[in-house]
Amino acid sequence: MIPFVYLIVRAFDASDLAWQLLFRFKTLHTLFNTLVLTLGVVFVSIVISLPMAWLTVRTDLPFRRFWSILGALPIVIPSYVGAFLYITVFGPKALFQQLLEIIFGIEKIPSFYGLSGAIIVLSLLSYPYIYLIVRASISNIDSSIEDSARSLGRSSFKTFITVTLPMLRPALAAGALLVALYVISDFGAVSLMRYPTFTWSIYQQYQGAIDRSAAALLSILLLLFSVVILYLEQKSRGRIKYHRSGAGISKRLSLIRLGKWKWPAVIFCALVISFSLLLPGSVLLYWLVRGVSYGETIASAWSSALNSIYASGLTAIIAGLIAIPVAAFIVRFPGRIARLFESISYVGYALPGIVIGLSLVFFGVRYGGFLYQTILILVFAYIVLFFPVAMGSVRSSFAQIRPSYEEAAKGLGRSNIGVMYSITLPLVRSGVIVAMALVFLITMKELTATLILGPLGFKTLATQVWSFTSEAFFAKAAFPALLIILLSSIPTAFIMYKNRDLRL
Amino acid sequence: MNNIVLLCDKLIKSFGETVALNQTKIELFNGEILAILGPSGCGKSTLLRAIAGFENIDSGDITINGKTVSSRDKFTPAEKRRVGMVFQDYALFPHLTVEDNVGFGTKSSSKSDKAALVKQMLKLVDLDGMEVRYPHELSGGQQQRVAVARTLAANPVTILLDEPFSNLDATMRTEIRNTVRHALQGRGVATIIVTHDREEAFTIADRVAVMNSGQIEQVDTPENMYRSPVSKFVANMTGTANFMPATITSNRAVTELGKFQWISPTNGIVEGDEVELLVRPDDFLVLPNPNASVTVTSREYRGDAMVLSVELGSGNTIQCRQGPYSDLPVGTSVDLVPSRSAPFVAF
Repeated sequence: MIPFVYLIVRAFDASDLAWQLLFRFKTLHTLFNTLVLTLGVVFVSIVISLPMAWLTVRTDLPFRRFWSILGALPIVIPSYVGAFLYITVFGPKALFQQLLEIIFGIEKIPSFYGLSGAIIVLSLLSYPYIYLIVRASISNIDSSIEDSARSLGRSSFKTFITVTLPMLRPALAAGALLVALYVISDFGAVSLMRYPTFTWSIYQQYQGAIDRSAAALLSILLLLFSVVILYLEQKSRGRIKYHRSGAGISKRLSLIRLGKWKWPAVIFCALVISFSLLLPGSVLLYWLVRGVSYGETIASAWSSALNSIYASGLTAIIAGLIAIPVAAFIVRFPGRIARLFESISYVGYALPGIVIGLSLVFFGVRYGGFLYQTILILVFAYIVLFFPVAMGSVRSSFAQIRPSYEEAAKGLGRSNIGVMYSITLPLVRSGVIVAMALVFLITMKELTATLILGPLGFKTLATQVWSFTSEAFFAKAAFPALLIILLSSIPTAFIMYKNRDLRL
Repeated sequence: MNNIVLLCDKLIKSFGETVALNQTKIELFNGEILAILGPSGCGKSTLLRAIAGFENIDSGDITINGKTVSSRDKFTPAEKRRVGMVFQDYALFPHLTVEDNVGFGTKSSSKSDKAALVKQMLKLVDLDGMEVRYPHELSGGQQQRVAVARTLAANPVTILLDEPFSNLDATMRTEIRNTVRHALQGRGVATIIVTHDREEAFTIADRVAVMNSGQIEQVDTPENMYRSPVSKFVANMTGTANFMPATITSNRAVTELGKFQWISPTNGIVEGDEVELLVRPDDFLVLPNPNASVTVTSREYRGDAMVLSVELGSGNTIQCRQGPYSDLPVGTSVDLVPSRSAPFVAF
């Protein structure tokens, strides 16, 4: 919390110049840009993920399992990697245009930079968040509810519109929330796509201007923006509860026959996968091969890889361990203090990396002394950023332990500590491990806070990819980019295997 | 009056190795309530889903009001059958209010017609005033009645209820069963109720069909079903059944407790056959007699009755229900005096 207070203090003694800057037309314009981009990406992501999720769960789509796994994979591609791969295909004078020039003699294609390009790139990278949540929600819908609507006279299409879709609303809202937060905190893709959003202009302020309080002011604005989104999502839940109302056994879902729609559905999935996975994947390989054939050394990537693993691993372990007592407290002693804890960690969800990075820089420069410019302050930033993620997982595994288990163990003569070791910890263990895997995965991809807070000369895979791509050394960026993707695939696969709802 | 609303003829349906429906035949008449009684896994839910149009059949015919809806090469989709289904878990739409749930399947064009119909249906199931609640704000019994009202409001040709009362606690069950029964009878809709609970089947239905391994073994009124079951399986499904060995002589069945009149529902028994007689718990009075060879082996006190298990000389055990004031301790030697005037059923 302290860094935030400091951020606010710092913002308040900002100079008049900074305040003027804040109220300039340009700021409003940036706000508008961010809003349009967020809405656009959320919309396109839903358009991609909703049919994908429905087709892969409820229908007799050919090669259903194949599509359902591929559909989730783009989640391991960091936005700055994805953006550079798309740019090298669709950018000016890039591969796609060269191809068109050779075949059709076309010399100019519409610019890929800017809003529409950014929407396409970010949607293709972030739709899996909605896809995974909606999938889980679709497979939890009791088939008797859809059957009821059918026997009351609705066709299967109308049933989907009037019954299934409204029941998916909370899942869609939760997924849209994740995507929206992803977009507003994204720095890598938007700056590569040259689309000025809030996060991007904060970074510009921080890098360029002497008066850093302007950056602090903008950060607070961004924070407010995220909190508003969070609030809207909470509010959209309303009074309706979506769990099943009866207590019966849920039946196996019968698959809907696609009939003549079978092949159009396959083509849809194939199109999504070729743009979200096949294209970036093959372009990455292309740069990798080109890099190697030009004699690029891959040695420098190894030390950054070690740095990445070290920082992410340390963060994951600490965040996972802290989450245990905090989650236990919130679940077991619900009350005002627990609620306060909960809402604080909720706000953490909405926290863009750049805001925490900046507040720690301000704080560190003045009071941190020996901590500033160390890896410790970076890890601290990671923990503040990703602790909510760890909490989510650990908390839900605590909530699944019925108090009667612990009471039964006490009744059988175990002490409090004995119960903890023999009952509680074994039952939450897999939740804690999933939490650590999640934190590891996200930290590995984190860019903004690392750029701002990383000690001089401390390179991670993320910063390395970033510095190469922003200078257009794509062949050099390919190998560290590949390493990030591979390293984050391992925990992703593990999480999906462990989490019943996300299992594909 | 006695038109057949629904006819299932020679239905066959298998899932891989398991045969769920095996030459199943069912007739449902106008305005009646038919209960299908069977143990779990006997195929009764598959039968219901086949009638509703959620499951295809391998062969046979399902005819509703004279129109074939399912056969080997014909399949009318569920939404075109006008078959109302009430699910075991009620399947209320969680995002709609009670009012919108009940109005979901109505066809009426004007809003006021629809509102009036919804009101009428809710009144029918004793739920007036609940219109604006959401399903999760209702008790289990209320949800159940909303599900029935929703189905009735769609004006179906026939209604199917799948284990409708199994999720309700025992104290509410009787009351809700009566409400639902009145609502169904009030609308005069031909109804099938699937259940594994004998009491439920007997109290709510005009006729009961006992189902075993995909086949209907017997269809009859509850009284006939209990008094003259056609098989040991039906005898067991319809109440406590004990079997006592007997030998058939001219017009009498000779047992260790004496000679009794007998009948055979299947008419397949001739003189000299070794058979078993069905003994219901109320068929014998238990009277103490120090010289008798029958002894009381255990007692089960039920408040409104005392059920005694008695061991016959041959080692067979039968249950006898006595009045709540029967005070014979375990180990008492007793005589069994027949209290039944009707002939015993022989198998």
